[in-house]
Amino acid sequence: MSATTDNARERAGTVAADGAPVVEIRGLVKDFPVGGLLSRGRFRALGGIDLDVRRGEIMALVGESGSGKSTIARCVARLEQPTSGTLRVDGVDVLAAEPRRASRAYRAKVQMVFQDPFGSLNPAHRVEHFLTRALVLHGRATSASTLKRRLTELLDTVDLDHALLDAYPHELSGGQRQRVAIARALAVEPEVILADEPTSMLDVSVRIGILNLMRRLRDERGISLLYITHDLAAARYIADRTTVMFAGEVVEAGESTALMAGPAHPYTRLLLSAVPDPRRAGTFDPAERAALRAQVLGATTCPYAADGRCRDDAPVHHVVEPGWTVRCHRYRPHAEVARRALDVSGTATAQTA
Amino acid sequence: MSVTESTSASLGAAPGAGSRPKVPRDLTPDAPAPARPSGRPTPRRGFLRSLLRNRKATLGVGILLLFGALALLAPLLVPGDPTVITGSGSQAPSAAHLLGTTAKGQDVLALTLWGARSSLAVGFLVGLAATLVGVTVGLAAAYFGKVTDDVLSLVTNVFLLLPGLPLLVVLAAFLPPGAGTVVVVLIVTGWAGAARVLRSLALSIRAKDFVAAATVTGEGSGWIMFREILPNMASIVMSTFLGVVIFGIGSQAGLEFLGLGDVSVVSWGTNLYWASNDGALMVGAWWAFLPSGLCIALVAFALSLLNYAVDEVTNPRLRVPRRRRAGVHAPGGGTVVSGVADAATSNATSPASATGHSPTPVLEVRDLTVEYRGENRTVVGADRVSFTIGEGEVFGLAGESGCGKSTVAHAIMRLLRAPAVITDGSVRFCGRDVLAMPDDELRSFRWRDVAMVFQSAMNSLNPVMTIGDQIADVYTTHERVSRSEALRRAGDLLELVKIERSRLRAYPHQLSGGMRQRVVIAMAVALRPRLLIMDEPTTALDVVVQQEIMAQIADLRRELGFAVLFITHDMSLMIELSDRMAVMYGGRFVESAPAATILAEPRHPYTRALMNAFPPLTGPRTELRGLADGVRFTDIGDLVEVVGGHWVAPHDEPDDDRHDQLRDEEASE
Repeated sequence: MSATTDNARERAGTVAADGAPVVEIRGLVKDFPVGGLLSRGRFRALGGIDLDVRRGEIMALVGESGSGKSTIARCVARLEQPTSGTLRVDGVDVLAAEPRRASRAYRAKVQMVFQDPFGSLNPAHRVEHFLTRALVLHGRATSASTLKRRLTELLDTVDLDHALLDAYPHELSGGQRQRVAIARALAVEPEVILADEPTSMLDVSVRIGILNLMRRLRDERGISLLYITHDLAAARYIADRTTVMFAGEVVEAGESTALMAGPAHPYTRLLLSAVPDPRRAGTFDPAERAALRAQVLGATTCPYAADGRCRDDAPVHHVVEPGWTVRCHRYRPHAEVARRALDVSGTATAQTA
Repeated sequence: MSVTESTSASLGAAPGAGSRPKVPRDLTPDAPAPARPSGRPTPRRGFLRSLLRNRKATLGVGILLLFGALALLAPLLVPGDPTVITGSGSQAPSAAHLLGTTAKGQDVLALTLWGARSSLAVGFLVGLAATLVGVTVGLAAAYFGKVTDDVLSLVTNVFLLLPGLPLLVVLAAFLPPGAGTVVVVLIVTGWAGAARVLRSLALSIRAKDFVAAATVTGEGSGWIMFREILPNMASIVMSTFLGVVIFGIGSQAGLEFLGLGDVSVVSWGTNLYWASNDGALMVGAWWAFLPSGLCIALVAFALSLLNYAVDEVTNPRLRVPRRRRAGVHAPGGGTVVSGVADAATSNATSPASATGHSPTPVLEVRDLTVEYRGENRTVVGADRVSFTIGEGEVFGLAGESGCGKSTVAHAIMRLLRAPAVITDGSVRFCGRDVLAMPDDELRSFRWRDVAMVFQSAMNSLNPVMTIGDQIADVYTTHERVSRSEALRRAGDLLELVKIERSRLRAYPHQLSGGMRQRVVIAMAVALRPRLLIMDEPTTALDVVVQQEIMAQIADLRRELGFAVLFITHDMSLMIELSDRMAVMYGGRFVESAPAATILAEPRHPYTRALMNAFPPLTGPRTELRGLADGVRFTDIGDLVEVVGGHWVAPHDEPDDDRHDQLRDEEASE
């Protein structure tokens, strides 16, 4: 293995201990303009997000489409300009330091893997081009011999045949393409990889392989990953912590297995209950779930908004356990009401009565 | 009728021979892909090389090369100044003057050949310059966007709005005469069209993920514009260039014919000008103007051919031969009649005969075999597949993409298109032989008897028609009821899928993806079919929406009592919803059993691997192996019943060893 890989490992070893965040997002707001010339309005995609990704961890970001998950990743990748908020990477306030355009040094720290491997590789170039550009731009390969060595190392890391260097994207399967995209991200030896639904467009036969690869990158190289997905089972499978988003807000965040074993926010519970899992007994009651969804998703019909508090006064994050927060008025730590918050039918009848 | 067609297209199930079934997206992914070059990538056939293989292109290039050669060799072929008078005036073609002489006595052949020099040079120069300006402006506008785009688009549009010919005339009249003036005038009037086309193309490419990916990698603007975006515009740039060349040659001839160019220059345009001035037409001296006119027409023809060939090469669909009757062919070439399948007894131990679920199955598929016949090789998409679906039963078909599950669904609906051919087997719907149905019966069979919902069906609703009109069309066309009655029923149908009746007036874009999918499902069941085929109906949707749709289908099924053939790769979803299910691999069934049995006791190693490909939501986090890229089974035998209702293809135990062994064998091949 090369010296650089050893460095990465060392880096992982030294920093994983302190668990300091490598990416710190505070109060991130993103508005998109909507409407035509005459009725110009704004759509708030992100309403003040706080999120940390620690060194050497996989943080999963889950939620339904349109909840703003990808917007966060695109803001961190500096593909979108946030409306307000701060973004710190390695302690540097990047929006202040590089307000217009991300520097190459920043790109060397933060890389991204896109959802659609058919769209994220330029059909006009060969595999070698993608990897070589990333290596050369960031000075990871200064001579022809190092370039060659680094290329084969990269392919080995992502389990691709060396002969594929000469292939065009259209000659590769979806899984192979996504591996190329990951190799391209790895080429710059980043500290953070933003993975935007990297498996959702792939066939079932290769999904686990990509998930296992991401796990290995964390375990062997100490790379931090922000893993965006709507697949809760996949999030639970590889992520150390999971953040649940709904309508541009973080509603719950905590250690993955604990959070999925006992979700505190009604929306998290709704999401979980929708995942088909034949091994769970007695959870598939469509009527109950439809009621839950209707109530949770409608701002005015949320059974916990009867007092109007959500509308007048934004809920704050309560701590369920250390490292586990939930954003709901109804939640009181260690109180019976927290349990009741999940029992929609009970609450609803109590209110009508 | 057009109304009907749009609705049926939205359902995905094309009703008849008249409209093309809207299947490619759904059909191709599941069609067996040509062998992936794992390890041995083929060099991509270059754009230029494939262009030169195209007959139209060769002809076009040939004509252009001929003219180019004649123009270059003109000084050798007809030496001397072509305007010199070499004979008496207005002579018809003869041995001395192959193309005759002008009224003044100049040799027409010499004038035509020398004229090619100026006309072609101006044409290609204008083409090059205008395309270059167009590419630069288009790329810059698309890439930088915002103010840059606003300014550049404004300028482009102003130039487009300026009336072309008058501008040409005015500019040509004010600028000093000369060949250079014509070139400048033509570039000024020609670039804007190119810029607009190329800007909109560049805009669509700029939005692609690979541009974002290049940005994230750290590439600069110039690199992204010229090395990432531009190569993907090559074919359009080329055809734009060819178009501008045609424009250049034509406009130059036009200007000069009007006397707005430098009439002392010899070109095809000035030849025509002089011919007209000398009254060649009036004295019947056709040879004075015909050669130059023909040359212009021929060059334009050659350029158009080339342009069309560029389109063909970049868009291979144009090249596909006219649709052969997608069909049902027996191995011998004839149409399969029901007797053939009955005679096939090789797979007699198929589960078809042993379901015991229902006395008269809704659907009975026996030994269905579908082949994809390529130019060089034939791939079997479905191989002797047999199953039955009972009244009101949900039958699931699981497997990874390419396993043939969609092929089976399309074969049942007879939606397969060439090169897919049903080579053997039978499909019986309530005892009727589907494969032998004539077209009109087939039309009513689809939708009325069997309806189908595709993965992307929600995107196929007609965007310019209201939901209500689209649903009502189903009734007015198939049930011949009045418009108001149809709309009333459409409202009932919407309520059936829990969408408010008031949404009848909504357009598709006003509904969420989940709602649209529910509308499509409502339309599918509008005519109360006895079987609903669902091909990955929720794969593109969120889990929450997926769960709602599935609950919706369960409700509808309870109410309407149709059977379902449910296709998905999601084993968890399938097990939750199906009564019985089959797992498919490489065109063959590897296991078939009640869903609960598959969950409790999967027997075939592939079934286990497939189930292992989905992480659980509960229990310990252990590393899953799933379906490794190399896991492959070959020569899957016929299903054998191990216990009542549980059919498994023969396989060796222990499975894991067999797996590895197979993989090793594959690797060593």
